[in-house]
Amino acid sequence: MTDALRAEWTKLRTLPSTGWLLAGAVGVTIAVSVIVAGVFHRNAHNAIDPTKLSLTGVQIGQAVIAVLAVLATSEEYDTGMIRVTLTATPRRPILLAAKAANLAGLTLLVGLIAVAGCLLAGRLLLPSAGIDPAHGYALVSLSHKPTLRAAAGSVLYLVLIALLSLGVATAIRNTAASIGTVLGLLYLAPVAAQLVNDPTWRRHLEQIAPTTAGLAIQATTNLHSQPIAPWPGLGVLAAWALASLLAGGILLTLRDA
Amino acid sequence: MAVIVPLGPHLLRANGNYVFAATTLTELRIAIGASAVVAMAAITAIALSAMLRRAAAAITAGAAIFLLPFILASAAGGGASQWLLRLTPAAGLSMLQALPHYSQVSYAYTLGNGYYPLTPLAGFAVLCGYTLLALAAATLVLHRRDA
Repeated sequence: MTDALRAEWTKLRTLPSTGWLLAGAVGVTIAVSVIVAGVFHRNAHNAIDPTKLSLTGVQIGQAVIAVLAVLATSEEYDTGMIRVTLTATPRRPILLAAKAANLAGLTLLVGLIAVAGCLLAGRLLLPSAGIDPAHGYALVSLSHKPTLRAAAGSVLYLVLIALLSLGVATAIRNTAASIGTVLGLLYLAPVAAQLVNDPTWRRHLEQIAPTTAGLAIQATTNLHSQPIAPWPGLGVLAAWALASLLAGGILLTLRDA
Repeated sequence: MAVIVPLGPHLLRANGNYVFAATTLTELRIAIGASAVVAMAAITAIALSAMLRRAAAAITAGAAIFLLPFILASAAGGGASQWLLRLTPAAGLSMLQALPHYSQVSYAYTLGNGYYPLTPLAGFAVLCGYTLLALAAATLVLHRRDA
């Protein structure tokens, strides 16, 4: 296992795209949060969740993480590298576990930086949009328990998105098709849910879709209006990631490269 | 689109929903307009892939320029969302506008209620502008670079 881990780490570390994508994930996540927090206008009608608003960037940053995870596997099939990899590490479940561990570690690190940047953006920028103690909103702070849960959960969310994407790419084995599938899974479900008029069905759809369920972890106020409670929501995404890794692992074991 | 536009309202009505009436002309415009939006998006994506030359980057960029404005618009709300749907390629989706705008009626004319900030053709023109820009940039880049 250690050898497999080291081999995967070497491959991941020496790809020029890895550094760019990791920097891109942090940059995009923080930039989107800065823009949203900067242009936000308080509307008297709706209740605002400052923490969730600060963490908006995660919704976009996850796409970059997904691309990183897909490329870690699918590029090996595109270039033929996978045959060398499987010759060096013939035990395929070990190979997938090593890939998953490396990606999870990198995403965890990047997620921590990105989420910290988002919260900082919210803390510094939201007061100028009228979301400050004078209007009854506390400053975004990790000492607030639900905010800490939302922040830690968002980091875990990104890790689970990486694992979900890895499983999909292992099953599909083609860069373009895998990225299309993963982005569709992440972004079409919320759009489809918006189109469903029936509230019960919309709620069910939002409870099982990976993004809408997983992002419930970001809510800190008005938890009853969420389709699913925070931790069970992240659990749904974890189930998606596990199922995708299992499917990818089984196909990897059964098929020739 | 020719199938969805008549079928959608029919299914909604069959399920007991109230559906606002739209003239045949509006339905025709939406069917043709939506197809044109998809076609323009495809051309923009070709230009992007010619510039980026990598499947992963091109697909992500293509999805981002159409999805990002919508996600940001629904998160930010208010004036910012209106400007996002005016200035980004997502403006092309104004073609889907079906409900008439009554200037004498005070109402929240927002995306959530089915209203886009631009008229259908103006929104489509914005999208075409981006498509042309992407094509021009792709042509330039393709001439300059070695394969």
